[in-house]
Amino acid sequence: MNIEILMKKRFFLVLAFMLLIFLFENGFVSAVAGVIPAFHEINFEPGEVHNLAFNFINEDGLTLEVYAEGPFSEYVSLDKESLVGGGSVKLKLSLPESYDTPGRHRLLIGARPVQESNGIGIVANVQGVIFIDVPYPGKYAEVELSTANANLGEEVPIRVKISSKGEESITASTLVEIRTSDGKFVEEIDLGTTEIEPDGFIELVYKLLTKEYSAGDYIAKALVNYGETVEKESLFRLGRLFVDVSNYSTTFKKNKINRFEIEAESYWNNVIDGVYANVSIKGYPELDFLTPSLSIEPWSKKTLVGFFDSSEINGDTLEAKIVINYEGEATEKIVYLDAEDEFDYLNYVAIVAIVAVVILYFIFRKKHEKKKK
Amino acid sequence: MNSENILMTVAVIAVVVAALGAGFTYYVVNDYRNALTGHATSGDIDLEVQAAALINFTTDSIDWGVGNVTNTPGSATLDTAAGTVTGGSWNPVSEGFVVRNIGNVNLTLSLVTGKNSTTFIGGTNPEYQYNVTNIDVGSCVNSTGFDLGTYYSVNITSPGTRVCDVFQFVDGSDRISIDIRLVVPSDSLTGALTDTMTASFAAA
Repeated sequence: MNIEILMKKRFFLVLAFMLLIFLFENGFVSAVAGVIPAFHEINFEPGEVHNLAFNFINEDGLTLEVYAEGPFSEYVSLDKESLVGGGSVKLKLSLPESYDTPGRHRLLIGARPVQESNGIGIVANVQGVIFIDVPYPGKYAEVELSTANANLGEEVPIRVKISSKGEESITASTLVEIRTSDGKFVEEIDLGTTEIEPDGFIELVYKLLTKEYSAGDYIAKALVNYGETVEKESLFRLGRLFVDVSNYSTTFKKNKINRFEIEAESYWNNVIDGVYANVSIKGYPELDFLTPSLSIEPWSKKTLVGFFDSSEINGDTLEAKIVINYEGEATEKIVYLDAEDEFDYLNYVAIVAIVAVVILYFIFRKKHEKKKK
Repeated sequence: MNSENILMTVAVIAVVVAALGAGFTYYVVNDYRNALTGHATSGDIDLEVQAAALINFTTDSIDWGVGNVTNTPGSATLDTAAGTVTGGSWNPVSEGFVVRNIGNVNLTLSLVTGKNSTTFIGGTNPEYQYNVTNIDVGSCVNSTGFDLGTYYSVNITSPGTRVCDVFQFVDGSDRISIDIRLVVPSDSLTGALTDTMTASFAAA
């Protein structure tokens, strides 16, 4: 077992090494820019010293100016002022004895190009971030709520993350309310009471059963009380296997091959493959057509396209039946298309030409009569 | 020394040797235990993935070549979003800067240029604008007050204009395009006109 683990570790190491070689060989040569790690996170402790590093990547040969920007930048000392192409920057952050503004602060350590490119070019000013959390006086909590879409009958995960960002620990009671999108109460879930130390957090996970629900949109609202109440909302959708005709072509041109578009909207939380439409035009069965089939991503729209020849169609309005087929199901819709008023440029030019000839005729005749006189 | 004493001495030596042997055996077996297969023990695989802020400029320059305003007096419009040049003899360019988030964290993205329309193009009523659009749906969650798909005059004041509060890294939603539109008047500056747009990005 241990040899197996050892081999797996070696395999990952070799794989990581090969990946690095591949990236350096193929990716980082030209226009890739970045910083690793993307960020550091620290909690503010008065007088504490942090030694941190960022590794910057940019175009070969590009001179970069290294800088610190934003809150706490005056407490940073950098080990270098510039880089060429990229490289590691080490820094020392000596936090002050006190800081007046509580909350999360964003200190940027950047490497920006100091040379211009030729023509109109774009270059990257790469910035590593140091997130510094300064505690709030007394008790303070931050709440994050997340949900996920599901299909009707499936479980919906509800996650509530409570972070204690104050100087004192908190005792937090958590409730989650579920309402429909139009505000109608559905149920309330008690996630209990928890004590959280300063700088600590807890993540409460609940799996919502949806067998008794209807398909549609819902709002989950977390209410976290720790002396004060913090509220957070998150929208989630319960899907059903249904594809709607959300839009379609409403006009057609006479005596032409017409493009007919049907916008199909999925209300299902999975990809639906093989969606196609069958369109029949009332009174003209020979013009029935099928669209090519395609896949629709969850909760998204796709346009199905087909063509029909209107040269044999009489009248200015068409009645068409759209049938969207998917996963053994079908959605039908009767629609009406109006003939477009076409502007006939040939007729227009002919009329203008005739009028012009008539006017010219009268002008010449008048001139001719004057000469005679 | 009688035979009993001799026997006792041998026995004591034997016991000491046996004890030493047992100890040595235990030590050797213990040392090899970790290398033996078939020895059942628990094992963890630890893996730490570092957050990396990385972008790739798939297209990092726009070059309309050499040309002039043919619509004189007047101006020419060069637009990468439309892929057209009107009123001028430059080569049309149909692709703006293409930026992809190839890291594993969401980013913020701001844009600033080195020059404005007057210093870059010059002349009467020049225009130097940019327009950010998603190539992949949802790649850029725009900042308040900045609309995707709309041309804005460039900003030369650092740190520039925050265009994306969240530039996503998820595959399939990680590419944006920055198109450029220039209006070059017939009395513009001449020669090679150059400027650099700087894209500042950091973990969101």
